[in-house]
Amino acid sequence: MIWFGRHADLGRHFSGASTRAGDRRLFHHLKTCDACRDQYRTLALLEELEGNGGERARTRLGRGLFEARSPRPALVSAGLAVAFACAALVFSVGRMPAPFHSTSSTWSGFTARGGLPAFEAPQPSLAIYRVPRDRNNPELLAASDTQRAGSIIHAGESLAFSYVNPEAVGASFVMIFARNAEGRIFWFWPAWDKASDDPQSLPIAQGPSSVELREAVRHELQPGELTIVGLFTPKPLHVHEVEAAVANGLQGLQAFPGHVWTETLEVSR
Amino acid sequence: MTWLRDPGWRERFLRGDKDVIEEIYKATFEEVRRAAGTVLHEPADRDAVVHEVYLELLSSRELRESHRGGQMGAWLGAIARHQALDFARRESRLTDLSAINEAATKTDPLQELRRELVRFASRLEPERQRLVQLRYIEGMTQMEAAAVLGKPRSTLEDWEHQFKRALTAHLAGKKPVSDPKDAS
Repeated sequence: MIWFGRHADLGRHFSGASTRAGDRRLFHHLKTCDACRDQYRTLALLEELEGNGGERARTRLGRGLFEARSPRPALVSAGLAVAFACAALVFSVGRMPAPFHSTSSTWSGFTARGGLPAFEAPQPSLAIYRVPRDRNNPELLAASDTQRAGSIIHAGESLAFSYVNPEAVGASFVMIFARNAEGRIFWFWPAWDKASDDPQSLPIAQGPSSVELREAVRHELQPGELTIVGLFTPKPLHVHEVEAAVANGLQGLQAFPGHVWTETLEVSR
Repeated sequence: MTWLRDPGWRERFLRGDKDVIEEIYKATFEEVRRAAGTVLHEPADRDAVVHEVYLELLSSRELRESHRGGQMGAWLGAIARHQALDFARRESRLTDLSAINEAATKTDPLQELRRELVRFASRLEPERQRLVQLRYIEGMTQMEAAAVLGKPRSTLEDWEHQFKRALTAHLAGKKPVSDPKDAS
């Protein structure tokens, strides 16, 4: 798993997935790794050349400093985690066709976010799209207003995803879920409509192109920090085992072979 | 900006209230980064110090209590400069401390990068060359550049992603300069 590698901290830092621990590790690592220092220099200087470079730098460095940290009690049980998830099910409003314009399962209109997730080889990644409700008819999605999610999404919006899954990684399945600062889990893929069910990962295509997942999903998200997780694995996993693994934090995902992609967003009102 | 609005706010600051510290961070970041940058010209070192200053502000009540009022940015900037000097001594990346300010006026890594960018971009396809010009020479946002080029923003994001990887490899001397189109 690349996520926890020291070199990968650099990619995570610039792709908006920093954590405080990750940034501390990164800056310590940068003192001794010339290759990463070079990469950091290039990316930081390019950032400065951009129109809003100062703001981007502030956001980039602030992400790790002010991450929401609400560690759950060490003894929290897997059962409690399942209870959280079941609560999430209750609040799940539903899934609707995503308003992507392409009818093909593979499309190239969008590409994955993520700056430089890794320099050695392309890694699986997700792109997140916000789909607001229609103002005149809140039961419908405002398809024409779909846009790539930045660092902030609004409560009430549906989220849609596309993925890139390079063949070399060997991942054939994905799970997409979100975890808020309180540790509550919200499932996007697979859908989880009945607490008694234990659905498994979604089979995905391999290749360099973006592939859309053609449903937008809405949860009753509360304002605050929300980490979106894409769990790319060679074999399918079940939601119950993943829920148990993340009961004490996302580091529990280390138990699974594959690649973890994350992005932390802010949910606003 | 003077950060002594009212006793309640100061009390929250002394307690290390994350919202208050974040507010301070947003208002003082540029000044603190600039102060660290006068000593440390390497972005990784400069940002490490900035990170450290705010981490300490978050975690050390002693540090917060040492602020007696006045310009928070100037206070944190002075701390950043001291920490940068300590950092330089520790890491031995700057041996002649008396030459700090002189060095700051002599070398401008941004100018160097701009020159390198122009050289590198000259070998790219015209559209991508134009993207580099708009984004990194003219300082346009991605949205503005997308409008000028008539391309979806997501396409530019993809190009930039590839471009950054190629440029990083090029600057690190890992990739032959002769074939940048390959990675553009």
